[in-house]
Amino acid sequence: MQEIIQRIAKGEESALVELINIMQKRVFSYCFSLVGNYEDAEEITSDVFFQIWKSASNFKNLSTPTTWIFGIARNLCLNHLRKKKFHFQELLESDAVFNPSEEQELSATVEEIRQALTKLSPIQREILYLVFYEEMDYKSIATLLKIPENTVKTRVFNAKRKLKEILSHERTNQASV
Amino acid sequence: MKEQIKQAFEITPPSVLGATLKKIHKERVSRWKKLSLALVASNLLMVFVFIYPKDEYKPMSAGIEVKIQKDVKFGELEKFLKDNSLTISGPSQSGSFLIEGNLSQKQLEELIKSQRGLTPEGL
Repeated sequence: MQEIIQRIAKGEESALVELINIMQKRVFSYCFSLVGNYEDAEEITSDVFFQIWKSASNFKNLSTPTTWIFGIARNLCLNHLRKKKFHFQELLESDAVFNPSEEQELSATVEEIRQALTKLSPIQREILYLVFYEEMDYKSIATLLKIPENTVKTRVFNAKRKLKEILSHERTNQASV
Repeated sequence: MKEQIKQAFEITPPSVLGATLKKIHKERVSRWKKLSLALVASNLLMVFVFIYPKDEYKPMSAGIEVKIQKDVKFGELEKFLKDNSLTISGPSQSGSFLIEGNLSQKQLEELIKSQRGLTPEGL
């Protein structure tokens, strides 16, 4: 992937096409996990690759290409959410403290989970996406989100707890109907 | 459960290739437009700075031939020439002198007419 970015930096359009073919699904899914809207995620994904085209020469080997690409995607998504007046601070302040003993196993269908995910905040969806879909370790997530590893753990814990709450609430509603 | 959450994030992505390439080409066109505009603007500026003032301050090309009257005071004439950055050469066979300077022909004519003791020829 590093070699592709180097070729993009030299202005090779074919290298960008190659990168889009390799990464577009992951970048789109990540953007979708953050913005929660198909059309917006599509537009941002295209912006991500456009940004990569413009700034490929700025890529340094300090991070992996994937982290760098996800970093660009994250910035664009957060800018988009800011424009939509999304308040991150409120969410971060409401984060509860990580307590592993509280973790319980969830059981739900994929469709139920998909529905529940739409009810999570972008930050919660993002962390679950990175842990479960990208299967990134906490250290890489901490680098990407520029937060300490312990905060990553807390966010994962909170997101899972919230997901579980939504799922059980949905079940209660269905049972009462 | 892990696997189910992973599957829940599975989504068919749209193709962004066309849109991205379109953005790149649009940016190239816009860059060329900006460059062309800058070139046109700089050309216009050069025309204004170098060509337009050239007409305004056209230097004298031929100079003016004058006869010096006998009663002229040379000290006065020398001062007049020096003050106006003019040069004098001659006399020619006809006994006239050529006065030159970095002025327009009209300005030089006016200046010479104003100086006592100089008779411009052919005016």
